[in-house]
Amino acid sequence: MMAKKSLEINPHHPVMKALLEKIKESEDNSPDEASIEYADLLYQMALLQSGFAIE
Amino acid sequence: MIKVMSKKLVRKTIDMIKELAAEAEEEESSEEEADADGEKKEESEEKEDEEKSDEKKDAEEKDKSEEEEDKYLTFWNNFGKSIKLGVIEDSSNRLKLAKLLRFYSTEDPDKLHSLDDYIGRMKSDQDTILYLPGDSKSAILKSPILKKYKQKGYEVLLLDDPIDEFTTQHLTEYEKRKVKSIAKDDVSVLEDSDKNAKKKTQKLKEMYKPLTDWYKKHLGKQVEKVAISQKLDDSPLFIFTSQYGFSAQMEKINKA
Repeated sequence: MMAKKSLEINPHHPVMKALLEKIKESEDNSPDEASIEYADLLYQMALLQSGFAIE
Repeated sequence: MIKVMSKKLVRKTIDMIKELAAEAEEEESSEEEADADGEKKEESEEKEDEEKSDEKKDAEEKDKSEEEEDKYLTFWNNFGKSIKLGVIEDSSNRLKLAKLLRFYSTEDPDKLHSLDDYIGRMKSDQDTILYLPGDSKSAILKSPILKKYKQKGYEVLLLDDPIDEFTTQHLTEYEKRKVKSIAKDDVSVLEDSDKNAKKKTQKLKEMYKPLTDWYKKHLGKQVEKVAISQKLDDSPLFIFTSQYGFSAQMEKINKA
């Protein structure tokens, strides 16, 4: 059984603000490759910090 | 018949421990151990009798010792696990055993604190006993969610033993105060209750909707939901676990 994860974003953090802008700028609501990679990295970092293992 | 006798014996030992606890902290700890040991072996009265005499010896030894502080610590280090187990397994004596629990806390991470100490230091608007489980004390202290609680002056218990979280989950309530992990998403201590703050949060939510929607779509089944947090200070995001599901620590234990 897996834990039910709930990702919470800090709206006051500059990185999140930048990511939001990127998504807003894009036409079909999906940012460029670099941003996607960065978002993945942030998620995995958060996993580790929250005590989960990376799969 | 044996069951009745063992029940009575356990109660007696706990009462004895209580009396001792009133005298000195070190003695408390020893008594606690005895309790937990007694609970585990409820099947046979003989064993309990043995334990009882053991406890008595322990208590006497402690009385003699002058370095009470050190002895208490040794006691907790040796028998703390038994007490924690007792809280999990023995529901009828749970509250009595909970009084004997000792944890590290953000107030003074080098010292052990009892739950009563914690309640004594609680802020007037605080109705929840907060804790954060983790691999080690230093790892917990580095957790990004701890920062804001510290800033606002809330004390958080640091649970560095894997069994601790099971203990607190079984405890659920102590002295009418709920016991909750700050890594779960249902803790609302930090949330502002006035209308202005709520409006602000609502605005932020709408503003960030493209991002949360995209993140949810991108991560798919890996996460249950993506939301805006008020509990973070200088880290961009954090993963909380659902109130009813497994926590990060438990998932780890389960996988092992």
